[in-house]
Amino acid sequence: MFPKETNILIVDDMSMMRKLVKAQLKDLGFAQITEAQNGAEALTIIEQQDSQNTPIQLVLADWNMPVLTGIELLAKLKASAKFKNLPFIIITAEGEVHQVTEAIKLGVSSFIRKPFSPEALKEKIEAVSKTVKAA
Amino acid sequence: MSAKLIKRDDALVIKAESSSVGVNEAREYLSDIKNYPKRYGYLIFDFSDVTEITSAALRNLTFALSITNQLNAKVAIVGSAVVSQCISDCHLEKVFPYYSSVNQIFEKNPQTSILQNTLKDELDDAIKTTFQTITGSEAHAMPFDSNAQNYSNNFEIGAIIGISDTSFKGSLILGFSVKSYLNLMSKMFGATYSEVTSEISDGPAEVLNMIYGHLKIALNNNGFSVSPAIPITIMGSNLRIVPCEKKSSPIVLLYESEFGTFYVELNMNYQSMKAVA
Repeated sequence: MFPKETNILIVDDMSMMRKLVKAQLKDLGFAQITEAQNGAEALTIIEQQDSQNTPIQLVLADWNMPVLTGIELLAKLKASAKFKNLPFIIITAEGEVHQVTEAIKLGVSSFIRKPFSPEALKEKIEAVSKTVKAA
Repeated sequence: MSAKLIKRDDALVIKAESSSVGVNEAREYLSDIKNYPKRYGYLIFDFSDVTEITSAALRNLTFALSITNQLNAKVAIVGSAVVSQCISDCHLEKVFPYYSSVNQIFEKNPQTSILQNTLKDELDDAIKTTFQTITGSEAHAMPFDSNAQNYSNNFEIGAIIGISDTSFKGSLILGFSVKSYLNLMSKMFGATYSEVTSEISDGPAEVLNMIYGHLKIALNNNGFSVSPAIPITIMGSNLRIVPCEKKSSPIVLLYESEFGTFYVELNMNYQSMKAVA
Protein backbone atom coordinates (compact mmCIF):
# COMPACT_ATOMS: atom_id res chain seq x y z
CA MET A 1 0.00 0.00 0.00
CA PHE A 2 1.08 3.58 -0.55
CA PRO A 3 2.41 5.26 2.62
CA LYS A 4 -0.23 7.18 4.57
CA GLU A 5 1.56 10.44 3.87
CA THR A 6 1.14 10.01 0.09
CA ASN A 7 -0.05 13.19 -1.66
CA ILE A 8 -3.23 12.23 -3.46
CA LEU A 9 -5.14 14.35 -5.96
CA ILE A 10 -8.86 13.75 -6.52
CA VAL A 11 -10.16 15.18 -9.80
CA ASP A 12 -13.92 15.32 -10.31
CA ASP A 13 -16.36 18.02 -11.37
CA MET A 14 -18.98 16.72 -8.93
CA SER A 15 -18.37 17.96 -5.37
CA MET A 16 -20.34 15.08 -3.87
CA MET A 17 -18.12 12.58 -5.63
CA ARG A 18 -14.95 14.34 -4.45
CA LYS A 19 -16.34 14.31 -0.93
CA LEU A 20 -17.17 10.61 -1.20
CA VAL A 21 -13.74 9.60 -2.51
CA LYS A 22 -12.04 11.83 0.05
CA ALA A 23 -14.01 10.20 2.87
CA GLN A 24 -13.07 6.74 1.61
CA LEU A 25 -9.39 7.70 1.36
CA LYS A 26 -9.45 9.12 4.88
CA ASP A 27 -10.96 5.85 6.10
CA LEU A 28 -7.96 4.12 4.51
CA GLY A 29 -5.68 6.38 6.54
CA PHE A 30 -4.67 8.91 3.88
CA ALA A 31 -4.67 12.51 5.07
CA GLN A 32 -2.88 14.54 2.40
CA ILE A 33 -5.63 14.92 -0.14
CA THR A 34 -6.02 17.72 -2.66
CA GLU A 35 -9.03 18.30 -4.88
CA ALA A 36 -9.46 19.62 -8.42
CA GLN A 37 -12.67 20.21 -10.36
CA ASN A 38 -11.37 19.25 -13.80
CA GLY A 39 -8.28 18.09 -15.67
CA ALA A 40 -6.98 21.59 -16.35
CA GLU A 41 -7.11 22.55 -12.69
CA ALA A 42 -5.48 19.22 -11.83
CA LEU A 43 -2.61 19.89 -14.23
CA THR A 44 -1.96 23.26 -12.61
CA ILE A 45 -1.99 21.72 -9.13
CA ILE A 46 0.35 18.89 -10.19
CA GLU A 47 2.85 21.40 -11.59
CA GLN A 48 2.58 23.73 -8.60
CA GLN A 49 2.97 20.95 -6.05
CA ASP A 50 5.98 19.64 -7.92
CA SER A 51 7.65 23.04 -7.94
CA GLN A 52 7.06 23.31 -4.18
CA ASN A 53 8.72 19.94 -3.57
CA THR A 54 5.46 18.41 -2.37
CA PRO A 55 4.66 16.42 -5.50
CA ILE A 56 1.34 14.70 -6.12
CA GLN A 57 2.06 10.97 -5.90
CA LEU A 58 -1.28 9.47 -6.93
CA VAL A 59 -4.10 10.81 -9.09
CA LEU A 60 -7.71 9.62 -8.92
CA ALA A 61 -9.54 11.26 -11.81
CA ASP A 62 -13.05 11.07 -13.18
CA TRP A 63 -13.32 10.38 -16.91
CA ASN A 64 -16.14 12.73 -17.88
CA MET A 65 -15.40 16.30 -16.90
CA PRO A 66 -15.74 19.71 -18.52
CA VAL A 67 -12.69 21.73 -19.66
CA LEU A 68 -10.24 18.80 -19.64
CA THR A 69 -11.45 15.22 -19.19
CA GLY A 70 -9.71 12.57 -17.14
CA ILE A 71 -8.43 10.75 -20.20
CA GLU A 72 -7.13 14.02 -21.67
CA LEU A 73 -5.36 14.75 -18.39
CA LEU A 74 -3.81 11.28 -18.49
CA ALA A 75 -2.61 11.87 -22.07
CA LYS A 76 -0.98 15.18 -21.07
CA LEU A 77 0.77 13.59 -18.09
CA LYS A 78 2.04 10.67 -20.18
CA ALA A 79 3.44 13.16 -22.70
CA SER A 80 5.40 14.90 -19.95
CA ALA A 81 8.86 13.55 -19.13
CA LYS A 82 8.41 14.74 -15.55
CA PHE A 83 4.98 13.25 -14.85
CA LYS A 84 4.73 10.25 -17.15
CA ASN A 85 5.23 7.80 -14.28
CA LEU A 86 2.73 9.44 -11.94
CA PRO A 87 0.31 6.67 -10.83
CA PHE A 88 -3.11 7.41 -12.27
CA ILE A 89 -6.42 5.71 -11.50
CA ILE A 90 -9.30 6.67 -13.75
CA ILE A 91 -12.86 6.64 -12.46
CA THR A 92 -15.85 6.27 -14.72
CA ALA A 93 -19.55 5.53 -14.52
CA GLU A 94 -19.46 3.71 -17.84
CA GLY A 95 -16.55 1.34 -18.26
CA GLU A 96 -17.32 0.00 -21.71
CA VAL A 97 -14.67 -2.13 -23.37
CA HIS A 98 -13.55 0.59 -25.77
CA GLN A 99 -13.06 2.96 -22.85
CA VAL A 100 -10.95 0.48 -20.92
CA THR A 101 -8.90 -0.17 -24.05
CA GLU A 102 -8.32 3.54 -24.63
CA ALA A 103 -7.20 4.07 -21.04
CA ILE A 104 -4.88 1.06 -21.08
CA LYS A 105 -3.31 2.18 -24.36
CA LEU A 106 -2.53 5.52 -22.75
CA GLY A 107 -0.89 3.76 -19.81
CA VAL A 108 -3.44 4.19 -17.04
CA SER A 109 -2.39 2.48 -13.78
CA SER A 110 -5.89 1.24 -12.98
CA PHE A 111 -9.54 1.68 -13.75
CA ILE A 112 -12.47 1.81 -11.34
CA ARG A 113 -16.13 1.88 -12.20
CA LYS A 114 -18.70 3.94 -10.31
CA PRO A 115 -20.31 3.19 -7.98
CA PHE A 116 -17.54 1.52 -6.00
CA SER A 117 -17.21 0.39 -2.41
CA PRO A 118 -14.38 1.46 -0.08
CA GLU A 119 -13.05 -2.10 -0.36
CA ALA A 120 -12.91 -1.86 -4.16
CA LEU A 121 -11.03 1.44 -3.94
CA LYS A 122 -8.60 -0.06 -1.44
CA GLU A 123 -7.94 -3.04 -3.73
CA LYS A 124 -7.24 -0.78 -6.70
CA ILE A 125 -4.86 1.44 -4.72
CA GLU A 126 -3.04 -1.61 -3.33
CA ALA A 127 -2.68 -3.06 -6.82
CA VAL A 128 -1.26 0.19 -8.17
CA SER A 129 1.07 0.44 -5.18
CA LYS A 130 2.52 -3.00 -5.98
CA THR A 131 3.09 -1.97 -9.60
CA VAL A 132 4.87 1.21 -8.50
CA LYS A 133 7.12 -0.73 -6.12
CA ALA A 134 7.95 -3.28 -8.80
CA ALA A 135 8.89 -0.60 -11.35
CA MET B 1 -30.54 -22.48 -45.36
CA SER B 2 -33.32 -24.10 -43.32
CA ALA B 3 -34.30 -20.90 -41.56
CA LYS B 4 -34.97 -17.30 -42.41
CA LEU B 5 -33.50 -14.74 -40.02
CA ILE B 6 -35.49 -11.58 -39.43
CA LYS B 7 -34.41 -8.60 -37.34
CA ARG B 8 -37.31 -7.08 -35.45
CA ASP B 9 -36.94 -4.40 -32.80
CA ASP B 10 -34.39 -5.75 -30.35
CA ALA B 11 -34.91 -9.35 -31.42
CA LEU B 12 -33.52 -11.73 -33.97
CA VAL B 13 -36.28 -14.03 -35.17
CA ILE B 14 -35.14 -17.39 -36.55
CA LYS B 15 -38.04 -18.63 -38.66
CA ALA B 16 -37.78 -22.37 -39.40
CA GLU B 17 -38.60 -23.10 -43.01
CA SER B 18 -38.84 -26.86 -42.75
CA SER B 19 -41.62 -28.79 -41.05
CA SER B 20 -39.20 -31.01 -39.19
CA VAL B 21 -36.44 -29.81 -36.84
CA GLY B 22 -33.68 -32.18 -35.88
CA VAL B 23 -30.11 -31.82 -34.67
CA ASN B 24 -28.83 -30.87 -38.12
CA GLU B 25 -31.36 -28.05 -38.45
CA ALA B 26 -30.55 -26.83 -34.94
CA ARG B 27 -26.87 -26.68 -35.84
CA GLU B 28 -27.66 -24.77 -38.99
CA TYR B 29 -29.69 -22.18 -37.03
CA LEU B 30 -26.77 -21.62 -34.67
CA SER B 31 -24.40 -21.29 -37.57
CA ASP B 32 -26.74 -18.69 -39.10
CA ILE B 33 -26.98 -16.76 -35.81
CA LYS B 34 -23.20 -16.53 -35.66
CA ASN B 35 -23.31 -14.50 -38.86
CA TYR B 36 -25.14 -11.75 -36.99
CA PRO B 37 -22.44 -9.97 -34.96
CA LYS B 38 -24.78 -7.42 -33.42
CA ARG B 39 -25.98 -8.43 -29.97
CA TYR B 40 -29.70 -8.83 -29.58
CA GLY B 41 -31.85 -8.73 -26.47
CA TYR B 42 -33.92 -11.66 -27.67
CA LEU B 43 -33.51 -14.67 -29.92
CA ILE B 44 -36.90 -15.96 -31.01
CA PHE B 45 -37.13 -19.37 -32.63
CA ASP B 46 -40.27 -19.26 -34.72
CA PHE B 47 -41.35 -22.88 -35.18
CA SER B 48 -44.92 -21.99 -36.20
CA ASP B 49 -44.80 -24.28 -39.24
CA VAL B 50 -42.93 -27.08 -37.51
CA THR B 51 -44.91 -30.30 -37.03
CA GLU B 52 -42.04 -32.40 -35.74
CA ILE B 53 -39.19 -31.47 -33.41
CA THR B 54 -36.81 -33.75 -31.57
CA SER B 55 -35.72 -33.35 -27.97
CA ALA B 56 -32.12 -33.69 -29.16
CA ALA B 57 -32.62 -30.64 -31.37
CA LEU B 58 -33.94 -28.59 -28.46
CA ARG B 59 -31.10 -29.68 -26.21
CA ASN B 60 -28.64 -28.91 -28.97
CA LEU B 61 -29.98 -25.37 -29.16
CA THR B 62 -29.68 -25.02 -25.38
CA PHE B 63 -26.07 -26.04 -25.15
CA ALA B 64 -24.93 -24.47 -28.35
CA LEU B 65 -26.40 -21.02 -27.64
CA SER B 66 -23.56 -20.42 -25.25
CA ILE B 67 -21.04 -20.57 -28.05
CA THR B 68 -22.74 -17.96 -30.20
CA ASN B 69 -22.08 -14.26 -29.72
CA GLN B 70 -25.54 -13.82 -28.15
CA LEU B 71 -24.57 -14.75 -24.62
CA ASN B 72 -26.84 -12.19 -22.97
CA ALA B 73 -29.82 -12.73 -25.22
CA LYS B 74 -33.04 -14.06 -23.78
CA VAL B 75 -34.55 -16.90 -25.77
CA ALA B 76 -38.17 -17.63 -26.67
CA ILE B 77 -39.85 -20.26 -28.82
CA VAL B 78 -42.99 -19.83 -30.88
CA GLY B 79 -44.80 -22.88 -32.18
CA SER B 80 -47.68 -25.28 -32.17
CA ALA B 81 -48.79 -27.62 -29.39
CA VAL B 82 -46.23 -30.15 -30.67
CA VAL B 83 -43.39 -27.75 -29.92
CA SER B 84 -44.88 -26.84 -26.55
CA GLN B 85 -45.14 -30.52 -25.63
CA CYS B 86 -41.52 -31.16 -26.61
CA ILE B 87 -40.33 -28.25 -24.43
CA SER B 88 -42.36 -29.64 -21.56
CA ASP B 89 -41.09 -33.19 -22.08
CA CYS B 90 -37.51 -31.94 -22.00
CA HIS B 91 -38.20 -29.79 -18.90
CA LEU B 92 -36.86 -26.77 -20.76
CA GLU B 93 -39.68 -24.35 -19.93
CA LYS B 94 -37.33 -22.04 -18.07
CA VAL B 95 -34.78 -22.02 -20.88
CA PHE B 96 -37.30 -21.66 -23.68
CA PRO B 97 -40.38 -19.63 -22.69
CA TYR B 98 -43.12 -20.70 -25.07
CA TYR B 99 -45.45 -18.44 -27.04
CA SER B 100 -48.16 -19.32 -29.52
CA SER B 101 -47.29 -16.47 -31.89
CA VAL B 102 -44.51 -13.98 -32.53
CA ASN B 103 -46.99 -11.14 -32.14
CA GLN B 104 -47.77 -12.35 -28.65
CA ILE B 105 -44.17 -11.50 -27.77
CA PHE B 106 -44.25 -8.13 -29.51
CA GLU B 107 -47.29 -6.86 -27.70
CA LYS B 108 -48.32 -3.40 -28.72
CA ASN B 109 -48.45 -2.15 -25.15
CA PRO B 110 -44.97 -0.68 -24.66
CA GLN B 111 -44.99 -1.50 -20.96
CA THR B 112 -44.96 -5.17 -21.82
CA SER B 113 -42.98 -5.20 -25.04
CA ILE B 114 -39.82 -7.24 -24.86
CA LEU B 115 -37.48 -4.28 -25.28
CA GLN B 116 -39.24 -2.35 -22.52
CA ASN B 117 -39.07 -5.38 -20.25
CA THR B 118 -35.39 -5.90 -20.99
CA LEU B 119 -34.63 -2.25 -20.25
CA LYS B 120 -36.80 -2.33 -17.15
CA ASP B 121 -34.80 -5.28 -15.81
CA GLU B 122 -31.50 -3.61 -16.66
CA LEU B 123 -32.59 -0.32 -15.11
CA ASP B 124 -33.78 -2.06 -11.96
CA ASP B 125 -30.46 -3.86 -11.70
CA ALA B 126 -28.53 -0.60 -12.23
CA ILE B 127 -30.56 1.20 -9.54
CA LYS B 128 -30.25 -1.58 -6.98
CA THR B 129 -26.51 -2.01 -7.62
CA THR B 130 -25.90 1.72 -7.33
CA PHE B 131 -27.78 2.18 -4.06
CA GLN B 132 -26.40 -1.01 -2.54
CA THR B 133 -22.86 0.15 -3.28
CA ILE B 134 -23.17 3.74 -2.12
CA THR B 135 -25.26 3.13 1.00
CA GLY B 136 -24.54 -0.50 1.85
CA SER B 137 -28.27 -1.16 2.10
CA GLU B 138 -30.86 -2.39 -0.33
CA ALA B 139 -33.49 -0.44 -2.22
CA HIS B 140 -36.68 -2.42 -2.78
CA ALA B 141 -38.92 -1.97 -5.78
CA MET B 142 -42.47 -0.95 -4.93
CA PRO B 143 -45.54 -1.99 -6.88
CA PHE B 144 -46.42 0.55 -9.53
CA ASP B 145 -49.73 1.22 -11.20
CA SER B 146 -48.96 2.43 -14.73
CA ASN B 147 -52.14 4.51 -14.69
CA ALA B 148 -51.16 6.39 -11.54
CA GLN B 149 -50.00 9.91 -12.21
CA ASN B 150 -48.96 10.84 -8.69
CA TYR B 151 -45.65 8.99 -8.45
CA SER B 152 -43.69 12.24 -8.65
CA ASN B 153 -45.81 14.14 -6.10
CA ASN B 154 -42.97 14.38 -3.62
CA PHE B 155 -40.33 15.24 -6.20
CA GLU B 156 -38.34 18.11 -4.71
CA ILE B 157 -34.78 17.30 -5.71
CA GLY B 158 -33.41 15.08 -8.44
CA ALA B 159 -31.60 14.96 -11.72
CA ILE B 160 -32.21 14.49 -15.41
CA ILE B 161 -29.98 13.22 -18.20
CA GLY B 162 -30.74 13.32 -21.92
CA ILE B 163 -30.31 10.09 -23.85
CA SER B 164 -30.27 9.86 -27.61
CA ASP B 165 -29.53 7.42 -30.37
CA THR B 166 -30.33 7.42 -34.09
CA SER B 167 -33.62 5.66 -33.29
CA PHE B 168 -34.87 7.53 -30.23
CA LYS B 169 -34.59 10.56 -28.02
CA GLY B 170 -35.33 10.33 -24.36
CA SER B 171 -34.45 11.11 -20.81
CA LEU B 172 -33.67 9.43 -17.53
CA ILE B 173 -34.97 11.10 -14.38
CA LEU B 174 -34.22 10.45 -10.72
CA GLY B 175 -36.46 12.06 -8.10
CA PHE B 176 -36.42 12.29 -4.30
CA SER B 177 -38.18 14.28 -1.63
CA VAL B 178 -35.67 16.57 0.12
CA LYS B 179 -36.11 14.49 3.27
CA SER B 180 -35.22 11.24 1.47
CA TYR B 181 -32.26 12.87 -0.24
CA LEU B 182 -30.85 14.28 3.01
CA ASN B 183 -31.27 10.87 4.63
CA LEU B 184 -29.37 9.33 1.71
CA MET B 185 -26.50 11.79 2.03
CA SER B 186 -26.41 11.29 5.80
CA LYS B 187 -26.23 7.54 5.25
CA MET B 188 -23.45 7.87 2.67
CA PHE B 189 -21.27 10.21 4.66
CA GLY B 190 -22.10 9.15 8.20
CA ALA B 191 -23.10 12.71 9.11
CA THR B 192 -26.43 14.39 9.64
CA TYR B 193 -27.54 16.78 6.93
CA SER B 194 -30.50 19.03 7.65
CA GLU B 195 -30.22 21.07 4.46
CA VAL B 196 -28.88 20.68 0.94
CA THR B 197 -25.44 22.27 1.23
CA SER B 198 -23.29 23.18 -1.75
CA GLU B 199 -21.05 20.14 -1.31
CA ILE B 200 -23.96 17.72 -1.69
CA SER B 201 -26.11 19.74 -4.07
CA ASP B 202 -24.82 17.93 -7.16
CA GLY B 203 -25.35 14.50 -5.58
CA PRO B 204 -28.53 13.63 -7.51
CA ALA B 205 -26.70 14.20 -10.80
CA GLU B 206 -23.82 11.98 -9.70
CA VAL B 207 -26.11 9.19 -8.50
CA LEU B 208 -28.05 9.38 -11.76
CA ASN B 209 -24.77 9.34 -13.66
CA MET B 210 -23.89 6.03 -11.98
CA ILE B 211 -27.28 4.55 -12.89
CA TYR B 212 -26.95 5.85 -16.45
CA GLY B 213 -23.49 4.31 -16.77
CA HIS B 214 -24.99 0.85 -16.19
CA LEU B 215 -28.01 1.53 -18.38
CA LYS B 216 -25.86 2.84 -21.22
CA ILE B 217 -23.96 -0.44 -21.38
CA ALA B 218 -27.27 -2.35 -21.41
CA LEU B 219 -28.68 -0.12 -24.17
CA ASN B 220 -25.57 -0.52 -26.30
CA ASN B 221 -25.60 -4.28 -25.74
CA ASN B 222 -29.15 -4.21 -27.08
CA GLY B 223 -28.19 -2.66 -30.39
CA PHE B 224 -28.38 1.03 -29.53
CA SER B 225 -25.52 3.46 -29.72
CA VAL B 226 -25.95 6.02 -26.97
CA SER B 227 -23.17 8.41 -26.07
CA PRO B 228 -21.93 9.79 -22.77
CA ALA B 229 -24.09 12.63 -21.47
CA ILE B 230 -23.92 15.13 -18.63
CA PRO B 231 -26.66 14.98 -15.98
CA ILE B 232 -28.00 18.07 -14.23
CA THR B 233 -29.49 18.47 -10.77
CA ILE B 234 -32.94 19.99 -10.34
CA MET B 235 -34.30 21.33 -7.07
CA GLY B 236 -37.56 23.07 -6.20
CA SER B 237 -41.05 22.36 -4.93
CA ASN B 238 -43.88 20.56 -6.68
CA LEU B 239 -41.56 19.65 -9.52
CA ARG B 240 -42.83 17.72 -12.49
CA ILE B 241 -40.77 17.01 -15.58
CA VAL B 242 -42.88 16.54 -18.67
CA PRO B 243 -41.08 15.32 -21.81
CA CYS B 244 -41.79 17.73 -24.69
CA GLU B 245 -42.61 14.87 -27.02
CA LYS B 246 -44.23 11.89 -25.36
CA LYS B 247 -45.11 9.18 -27.83
CA SER B 248 -44.58 6.16 -25.62
CA SER B 249 -45.26 5.25 -22.02
CA PRO B 250 -42.31 5.80 -19.71
CA ILE B 251 -40.76 3.08 -17.62
CA VAL B 252 -41.32 4.21 -14.04
CA LEU B 253 -39.75 2.41 -11.12
CA LEU B 254 -40.53 3.27 -7.50
CA TYR B 255 -38.30 2.25 -4.60
CA GLU B 256 -38.33 2.27 -0.86
CA SER B 257 -35.23 2.07 1.27
CA GLU B 258 -34.10 2.86 4.76
CA PHE B 259 -33.51 6.48 3.74
CA GLY B 260 -36.94 6.91 2.14
CA THR B 261 -38.61 6.55 -1.22
CA PHE B 262 -37.49 7.66 -4.66
CA TYR B 263 -38.38 7.05 -8.28
CA VAL B 264 -36.63 6.66 -11.62
CA GLU B 265 -38.31 7.35 -14.95
CA LEU B 266 -37.02 6.38 -18.39
CA ASN B 267 -38.60 8.03 -21.43
CA MET B 268 -37.73 6.79 -24.89
CA ASN B 269 -39.51 8.30 -27.87
CA TYR B 270 -38.75 6.16 -30.88
CA GLN B 271 -38.27 7.84 -34.21
CA SER B 272 -37.84 4.62 -36.14
CA MET B 273 -37.31 1.17 -34.79
CA LYS B 274 -35.65 0.17 -38.07
CA ALA B 275 -32.46 1.80 -36.95
CA VAL B 276 -32.30 -0.60 -34.05
CA ALA B 277 -32.46 -3.68 -36.22
